[in-house]
Amino acid sequence: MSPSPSPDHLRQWLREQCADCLGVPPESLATDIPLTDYGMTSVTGTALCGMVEDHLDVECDLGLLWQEQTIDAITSRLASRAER
Amino acid sequence: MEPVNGVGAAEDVLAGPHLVAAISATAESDPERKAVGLVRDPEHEGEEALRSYSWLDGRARRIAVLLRRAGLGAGSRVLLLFPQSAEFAAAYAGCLYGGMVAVPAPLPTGTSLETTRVAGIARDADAGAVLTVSDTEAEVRQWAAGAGLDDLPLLSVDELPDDAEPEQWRRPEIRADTVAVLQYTSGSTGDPKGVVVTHGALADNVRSLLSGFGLGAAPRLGGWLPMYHDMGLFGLLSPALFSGGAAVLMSGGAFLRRPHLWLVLIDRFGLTFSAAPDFAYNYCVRRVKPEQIDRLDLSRWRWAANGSEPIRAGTLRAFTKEFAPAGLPPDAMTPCYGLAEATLLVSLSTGEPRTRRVDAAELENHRFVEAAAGHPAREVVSCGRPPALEVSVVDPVTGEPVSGVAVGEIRVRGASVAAGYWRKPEATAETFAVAEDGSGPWLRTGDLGILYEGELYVTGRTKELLIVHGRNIYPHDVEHGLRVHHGELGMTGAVFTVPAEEGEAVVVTHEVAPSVQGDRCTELVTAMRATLAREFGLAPVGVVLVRRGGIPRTSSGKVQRRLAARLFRAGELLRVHADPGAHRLMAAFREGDPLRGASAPTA
Repeated sequence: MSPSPSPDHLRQWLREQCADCLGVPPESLATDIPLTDYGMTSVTGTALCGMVEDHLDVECDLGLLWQEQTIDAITSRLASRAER
Repeated sequence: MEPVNGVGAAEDVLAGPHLVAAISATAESDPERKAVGLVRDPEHEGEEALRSYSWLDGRARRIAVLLRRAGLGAGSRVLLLFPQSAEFAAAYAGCLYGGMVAVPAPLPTGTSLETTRVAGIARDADAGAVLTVSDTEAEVRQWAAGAGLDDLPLLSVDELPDDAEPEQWRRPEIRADTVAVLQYTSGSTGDPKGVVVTHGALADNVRSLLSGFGLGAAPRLGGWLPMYHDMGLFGLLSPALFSGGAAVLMSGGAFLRRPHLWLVLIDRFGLTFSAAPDFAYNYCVRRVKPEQIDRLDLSRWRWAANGSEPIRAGTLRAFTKEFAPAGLPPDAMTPCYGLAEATLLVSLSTGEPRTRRVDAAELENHRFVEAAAGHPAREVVSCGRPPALEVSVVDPVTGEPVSGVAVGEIRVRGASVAAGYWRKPEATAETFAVAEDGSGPWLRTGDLGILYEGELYVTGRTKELLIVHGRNIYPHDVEHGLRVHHGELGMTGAVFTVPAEEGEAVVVTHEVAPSVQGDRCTELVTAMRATLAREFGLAPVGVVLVRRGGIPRTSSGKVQRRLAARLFRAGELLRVHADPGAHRLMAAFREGDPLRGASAPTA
């Protein structure tokens, strides 16, 4: 992944990773609904953090996921971290 | 009771009759032999990541000296709050070297629930000191202050004062009935129960594990299970140290982030044995990529023990198939049954895993009958023959042995059954029951199952316990936690499981204030799901809000979770709102086939 992907790309990439973690098709995930509504837990959330860290080279922890909750909000936070 | 010293036969798999004798014997005969280590990067680290028996023995002696100097005597409880580390092993050994009792618990730095739970454990155990490492000392101090426990001596075992000399240590008297560990996997947050594991029970269980798995001399065991978990402490670390072998560890967080690193650890460090709950194997199948499998050699991994939560037949097959190209032996996957109240291991299945397809409706009526073609079936995994403990299956109400195809409560008797719950005579009498004929004590496991053609099949539970990713979660804690976070909820909730494809599905039901209606219900369920995920790691299949008075209770006010589950399945809960998952479950039950359309979310 390029060092600073566009927010739209990042959002779509994140949606795919979330879908992969949760074992559902990406199109079934709305980006403005909390991921915990789709069954995300500390286990699947930690897996997602690992993927984000490996691919974007930014730090990501469960605190961020619980705070931001939705794919949209997480995208914004990660985009601002990636720019720094 | 006879002192344990003297029990061990010459060909014993244990290096000593108790853990203190075993560790010090190996440290004396082969001081540089590797004992334990935390590996952060198994792709690049090697043997230098592991500490020797001489290091372990020296540390343990100094810790024992310091604990004595802090005023703790034989039998004092010492709380161990550690990240995954070799230092944990030193602290564990140090407590035992001091003749004291190790009380492992999770680092109280996570959720508020965990913080409260660990404070409850410290009080229940009446701990006289806390051990940790310098990395986490500040957090532990903060927790202790918050919990009103800051008068307890706290020691970081990686920064011991120089004047504590190993030579000052005097070996304590250790007998078979000397308490070694209080294991707190049981009991809710408000009522923690410490399983009393004696040196005799520990030695016996470790011996049955080492010989049951045929691990040979000085085996290498390891994995990511935390050491406050019974399967980590008694299934990985203790057998390694008892037999002069090595425990090679990584952190649970590292595994969840990069699951292939667990397999790399097993490969690079030549582990013959690793253990994990079912979800972890399923997680590897889903997450480890083909190019990562290409680089693995798992041919030395003789035993992949699967236990501490319901075992799914599908996981066994998928894992065995997925990692066969990496050389995983076809019979490596080993379903196990055990519980802290029996120290750990009760039964294990050797050879290729065996399963039975049993009639789902018959199983609901506690009968184990092979399913006819076309009938809804559940595939139940064999946990094999108990190697050391005596197992019987009884009617959970009368305690009478059941026979034929009847499913009953699994009871266990033998040398590694724990000595009861710490300072809880009533709970001890209830769970460690003496049989009518005066024999016993029989441990009432609270698990349902059958001995079928001599092999143990676990089919469910009588206890109202949720098992999530190998952790025991009490419905009461979940219901209470929801009320703490969501003021709109009423007084009573019921969290329970219902049968689902390959196991069980968690359903959360709770009463709600009459003012909550329409869209606010949806918002509330969303908020509840966030709380459940964050605080309990729980993703229920369905959430239902019910009218006040809609959750059944006894006349004394006790929540009737089983009845609530039946009402839910019959569609008779007075619901205000049910989320889509709950609707799907109810529809499946309406259609009369509980095993269709109700798949629980995985990992």
